[in-house]
Amino acid sequence: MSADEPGPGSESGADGDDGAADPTLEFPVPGDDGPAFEAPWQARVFGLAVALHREQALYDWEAFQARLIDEVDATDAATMQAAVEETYYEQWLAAFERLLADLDVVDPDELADRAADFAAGDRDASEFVDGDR
Amino acid sequence: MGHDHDHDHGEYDPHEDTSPDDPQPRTRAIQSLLVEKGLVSTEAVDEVVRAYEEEIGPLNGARVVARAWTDPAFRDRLLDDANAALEAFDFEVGLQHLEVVANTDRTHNVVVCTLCSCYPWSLLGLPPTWYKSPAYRSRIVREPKAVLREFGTDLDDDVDVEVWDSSSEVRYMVLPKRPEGTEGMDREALARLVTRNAMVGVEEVPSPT
Repeated sequence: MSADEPGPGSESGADGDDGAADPTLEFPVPGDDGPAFEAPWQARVFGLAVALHREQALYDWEAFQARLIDEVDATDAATMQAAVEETYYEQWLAAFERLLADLDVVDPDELADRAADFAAGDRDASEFVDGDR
Repeated sequence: MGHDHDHDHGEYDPHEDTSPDDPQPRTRAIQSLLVEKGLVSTEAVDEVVRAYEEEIGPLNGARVVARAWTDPAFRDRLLDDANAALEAFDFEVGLQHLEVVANTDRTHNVVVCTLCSCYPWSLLGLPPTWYKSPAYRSRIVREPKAVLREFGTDLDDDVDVEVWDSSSEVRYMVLPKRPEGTEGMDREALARLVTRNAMVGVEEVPSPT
C-alpha cells in the first residue's frame, strides 16, 4: 500500500494543520502513564466484560464495541476530557449493562436491586474478593 | 451521564459510593449476578485484570518490531498478514484483525480510534489515558503534525502523515523506523529501545547514541 493510495483506515492529514488548537480540548501533557486502573471498580468492569466474552462467547467483541461507541458518542467531549479514565469506564459500564440487558443475561431490574443491596451495605465485595474492591 | 460529582477524584475513597447509581455498586452487582448465574468466575475476572496489570504490555510489540528490523522476510510477512506472522510469537494475539503499518523516510504513520478506544491490546497492553481522550481522538485527525510536535516529534515538511483510524474490524500498530546507531545490536537490546509511543506513532524510536 503506497503513500499515494491511502488504505481503508488511513487519512492523509499532513496538509490539514491550521495551527489553531481548540482551547477547550487542550491536549493532556504526555507524561508517565498512571496505573492500569484508577479505581477498583474500573478494573472490575474491564475484567468482567473481557472474561465473560472469553468464558461464554455470548457476544462478539464488536457487539460490546458498538454499544461503547454509542456511549462515547452520547458524552460531551469536554466532560470526558476533564476526567478521561473515569468517564471512559462509566461509558464502558453503561455499554456492558446495555449488552447484558439486550442479551437477556441480566435483567435491568435485577441489576438495579442488586446494586441497591451493595449500595446499602447489605452485600459487600467480600462475597467475591478478599479485602475491599 | 448525569453524575453529579463535586469532590476530588484524585484519591479513591471506597466509602464514597453510596448511591445505587454509582459505578462501584453497579459493577459489584454485575459480578455478583454473573457469578450467581454461573456465567463467569471471580477467578476469571481477576486473571484478566492481573494479566493486563502485570503481564501484557508493549514489550510484546517491541519484540515484534525488533524482529522486523532484523529479519526482512518476517517484516514482509508482518506487513502482509500480521495475524499470521504473529503466530511465531508466544504471546496470545487474540481474535481481532491486526494491521502493521511501516514508517518510511517519506511516510510517518500514527494510530487513533476516533469512535472509542480500539487499540492492539495484545501487542501494547492497555491504551494510555491520552489515547482515549477526546483531544487526541479529534486533533490527531485534524492537525496531526501539531499533535506530534506536542509529543516532541518534529517531522520534515516533505514527510507525509497517514492517520489510521482503528475500529472493531481492524487494529493498527506502527512499525517505526530503525534508528541510526543500532547496527549489530541483538533483538532483545533493540526491543528495549522501542517505546509504546513509537508503536502508536506519536514518537519515533530514539537513537541509542
